[in-house]
Amino acid sequence: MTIVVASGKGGTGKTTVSVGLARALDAEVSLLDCDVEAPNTGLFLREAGAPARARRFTVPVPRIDAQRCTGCGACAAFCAFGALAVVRDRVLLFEDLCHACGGCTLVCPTDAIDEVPHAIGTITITETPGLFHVTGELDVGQTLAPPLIRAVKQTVGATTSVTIIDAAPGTTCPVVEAARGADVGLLVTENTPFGLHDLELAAQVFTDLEIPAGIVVNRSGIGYGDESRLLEISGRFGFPILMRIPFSQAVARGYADGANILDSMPGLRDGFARLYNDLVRIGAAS
Amino acid sequence: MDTEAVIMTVCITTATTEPGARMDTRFGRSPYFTFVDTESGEVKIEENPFAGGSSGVGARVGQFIAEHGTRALIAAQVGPSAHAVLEAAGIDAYVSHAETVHDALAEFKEGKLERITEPSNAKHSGRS
Repeated sequence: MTIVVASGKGGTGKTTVSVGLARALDAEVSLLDCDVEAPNTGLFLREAGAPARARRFTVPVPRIDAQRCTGCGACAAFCAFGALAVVRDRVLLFEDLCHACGGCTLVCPTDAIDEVPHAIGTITITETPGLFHVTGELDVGQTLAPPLIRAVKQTVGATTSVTIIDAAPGTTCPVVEAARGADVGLLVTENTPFGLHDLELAAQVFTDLEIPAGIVVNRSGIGYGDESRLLEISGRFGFPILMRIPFSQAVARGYADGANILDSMPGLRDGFARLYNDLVRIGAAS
Repeated sequence: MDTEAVIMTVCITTATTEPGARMDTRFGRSPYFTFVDTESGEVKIEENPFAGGSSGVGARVGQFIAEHGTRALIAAQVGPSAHAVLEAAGIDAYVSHAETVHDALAEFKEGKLERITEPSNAKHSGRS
């Protein structure tokens, strides 16, 4: 069973919920941090001293054999990303624009292009009892998130029964890549204008991806005076509100100290267990 | 270089063509380019096919003007990818803030323009 936690608006509490759910479950869990531009699940898991292994993640980029290259320009003409330019029979490669599609190697008429690995990020695996924690992190200055996210999603613990994916905020390519193929989604929102505006966008993405989802309202109690707009969105998309986490300064103070939500609000453990059962039901119903 | 004497194709970034061609302050996303053959005086204005692109534009436009036989470019600024391509192509870039293409060309022919030796900004890649 794979659950993807997304939001729309940033800062609503995706990581809080992913970590809370991962820690509350009595199962072998893989927690995959797919917010590869700014992964932060590790901040809330007590992993000091736990065995961790890291590997560099690479994408294949072209290497041009100057002897075989005739300067015909076919590679540059094909590249959809402007990563290649051919001037005076010389090929210029802009590695950071390359999307590693491999197209240039195919269209070169003289077989002058082969592919070499170009490191753009790191995948780190940390194991603690019951939790297989994977973090993908792009190097500073790199922007090619989707291939790294795909690689993180393929890194699941051998004994895992539940996979929780912490997606990036927003509704762009990294979120779509993180969510694609999940059994069920969990949209974390807050009952504020920005929260609900972006919840609608995220709900539309999940509808387009045909992933059933439920909603968690974090910091419940703040924002709009009532939940009428939130309920309308929930009803319109068919995504039920599964949990409300009340606003609490104690949680915010704990968060600032790196405590996770179950440390600050132990009573939520049962709530997360019920949330999981609801998600299983939603995933099965579709 | 004695710009008055050398025969070449000069490229000037162009924002509009009507009523008189005005210079554009951008290079990669300049909507048009004016190509002037300094020998025959022939003037060609061409649409920039990459102007609407989201990324990878600078290098492609550099290649585009190189394919037109450009030897000198007149622009307000040139980005890092374009700069690399222009250098490789042997195209000299000159800075001008003239309002019209006509004025920019006149400044060039009078040898008043300075070379652009560095790109305008640091490299950044991908969608911004």
